[in-house]
Amino acid sequence: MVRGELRAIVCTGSLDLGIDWGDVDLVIQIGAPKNVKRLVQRIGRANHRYNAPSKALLVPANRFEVVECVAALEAVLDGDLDGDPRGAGPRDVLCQHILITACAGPFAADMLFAEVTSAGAYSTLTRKQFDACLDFCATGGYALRAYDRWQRLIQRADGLWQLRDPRATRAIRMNIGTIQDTDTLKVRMKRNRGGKPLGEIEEGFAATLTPGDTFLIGGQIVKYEGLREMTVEVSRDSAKKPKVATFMGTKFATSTQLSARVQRMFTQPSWPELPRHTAQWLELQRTHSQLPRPGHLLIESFPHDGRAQTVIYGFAGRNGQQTLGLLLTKRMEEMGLSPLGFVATDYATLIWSIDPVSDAAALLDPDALLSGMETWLAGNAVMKRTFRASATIAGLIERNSPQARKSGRQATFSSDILSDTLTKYDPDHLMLQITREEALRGLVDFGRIEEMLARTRGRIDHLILPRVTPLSAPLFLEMGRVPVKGDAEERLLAEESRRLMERSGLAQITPAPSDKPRWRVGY
Amino acid sequence: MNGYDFTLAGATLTAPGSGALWWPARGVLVVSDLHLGKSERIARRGGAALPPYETRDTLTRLAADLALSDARTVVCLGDSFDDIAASQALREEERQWIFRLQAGRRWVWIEGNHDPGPIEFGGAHLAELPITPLIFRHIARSGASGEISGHYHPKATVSLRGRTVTRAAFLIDADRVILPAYGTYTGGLRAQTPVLRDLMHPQAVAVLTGPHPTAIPMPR
Repeated sequence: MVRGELRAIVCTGSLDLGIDWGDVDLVIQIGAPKNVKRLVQRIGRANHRYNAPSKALLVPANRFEVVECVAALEAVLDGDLDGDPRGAGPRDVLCQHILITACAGPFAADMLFAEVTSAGAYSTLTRKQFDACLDFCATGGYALRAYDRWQRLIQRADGLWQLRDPRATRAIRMNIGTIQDTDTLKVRMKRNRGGKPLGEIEEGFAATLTPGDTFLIGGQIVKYEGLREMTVEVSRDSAKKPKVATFMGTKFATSTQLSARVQRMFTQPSWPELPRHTAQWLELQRTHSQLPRPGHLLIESFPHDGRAQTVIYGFAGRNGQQTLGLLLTKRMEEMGLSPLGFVATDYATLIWSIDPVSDAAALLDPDALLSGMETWLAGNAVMKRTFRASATIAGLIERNSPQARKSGRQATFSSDILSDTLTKYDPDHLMLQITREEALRGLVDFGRIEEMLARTRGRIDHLILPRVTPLSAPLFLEMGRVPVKGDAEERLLAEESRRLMERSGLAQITPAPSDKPRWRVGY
Repeated sequence: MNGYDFTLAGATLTAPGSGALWWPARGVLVVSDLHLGKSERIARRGGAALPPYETRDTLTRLAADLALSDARTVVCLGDSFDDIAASQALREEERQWIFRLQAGRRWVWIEGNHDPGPIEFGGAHLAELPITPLIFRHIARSGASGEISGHYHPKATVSLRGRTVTRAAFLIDADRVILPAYGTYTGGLRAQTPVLRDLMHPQAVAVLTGPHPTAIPMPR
């Protein structure tokens, strides 16, 4: 492609719809299609002419995806399309629209409301909801009216709204957009400053590196040396087991219809329609464990990598399984099993913990899961991620501008602090309402979990096994592991502290931290 | 509450997980970089209207530490207010709250770069405060000993079986302690930063704040 011999374009879902290029010969779909309609749209980008057939090559990334690809193609042939109803227009986007409107000049609230509600997604928006968004843009919308002197928008004598300080225009315009970019860092060879960067990695991945760690980038293995002015410095290395840099991007959940098709395929006695290796993989799962049965919930527990592992095959879609991971790790924390983290795919959630799960029925008690939902929503990682996204769109926090990232990054503090503070002191604030709403329909997807509980109604197949099972193996390669903060973090921290202090020899010259509540004595 | 105990210039000190420092023999509680009024200053300068609750949150935690220690003396190591105007713009109930916390004890405001001038709250306003064998100031001076300072908002990162934990941290060596920022809306500066690396001896430890304050060799 670099030499111009292969004329191709690499893209995300951005070219799914509405692209009308006549001379695309072939679409290559990497990974599972997730959604039957999406697959049809994608294939349709090839030979987009009335008299030529569209062609595509599907490249599943693991055996699970092979099954999903075959199921999706069968659905296309059956004309069995899927799709979810569209929800109401998000209110964080409305807040951004109000601010951008103010940048263009003074506006009348009545006229803006009339205009906004003429858009389909906002046709059901009430005046009260609109006014709350306007108030948020103007004053922050806090129960504590702290900013009357420093309002962002002010209402003039003639009733029009305008920016208090026209210089805010630049900052607001720099923040336009609703797609959340992940912050990336350039990777460069050390002592080769000014040379061509090897590539970019996401900040989240860079944060997991410590000097000496190796990872793969640009086709070579490099060793992490350190971070210098927002550039990751590396040197060449010949390590055998490098880390693989993760690029998260956006992920869609597999549709309910497609998940149901995959589940039905698992009940077949044999799979002549699947490639041999995939059919053998399913047979192997049948021998060593079992395949998920319709109307039952399969749970596998086994040790691996020095931790207890538990896999829940809920078929609730990526976001639903993610939420299930959050709810279950919270339950495990309460049960004293010290969960460390989890990872979710469209079909299953893998949880690792210090102690193993022995009573799966107690863990999945529907009443406990449902009752924990509301209190749980407040403090978890998915909500914090959603808060960060919504607060950025609504203009409460600014995107990291290239200039700001170069200079005093240390002056900024994390959006988690803002969400914690709001939850504690202003729980009904608009920003938290929006976060809850966006999370419930997006990342939380609680409806799919309720559907799963209704489908299985307490019929749990819990297998305790000696090692990793065939069906669970792809989960260990899955990106997007979510750490659980809690008791396990404190346990590991104490362990690591002892290890580091011993190794450095500091333990001999510094008194060890005591466990006794000693700081009350002596006054 | 647990604390990390250590000695500095012969004085026995405790770092509880809250980010304050406690000197039991003299009944002195030290906090640094409260940055009270930060959200007001950001809004005043045309930035976002952040949740205006950080002063309340910082004071709540300070009140809890005072209740637990019953300190006779409180030393605020500077940058107690995000700027002088922010100190004047505090809400009435927050001002009253500070007065109540000050009642019946000695209170020292060390000047910081954010709040260099006199502020209208009671207590002593000093550039630095010596209480033998220690000296309290805002910014550490190289070559000093028995010195307790703030300013840098140090934080430290540990890697735990494939995950990282970053927390505000005390930096401690034989000659000085640098306190983490106590205020709610404060970011942190990585301990690896050259200025901190140069200030601290090679044997320095970083004590991570949190429910169980934990020492690690200072990351370099």
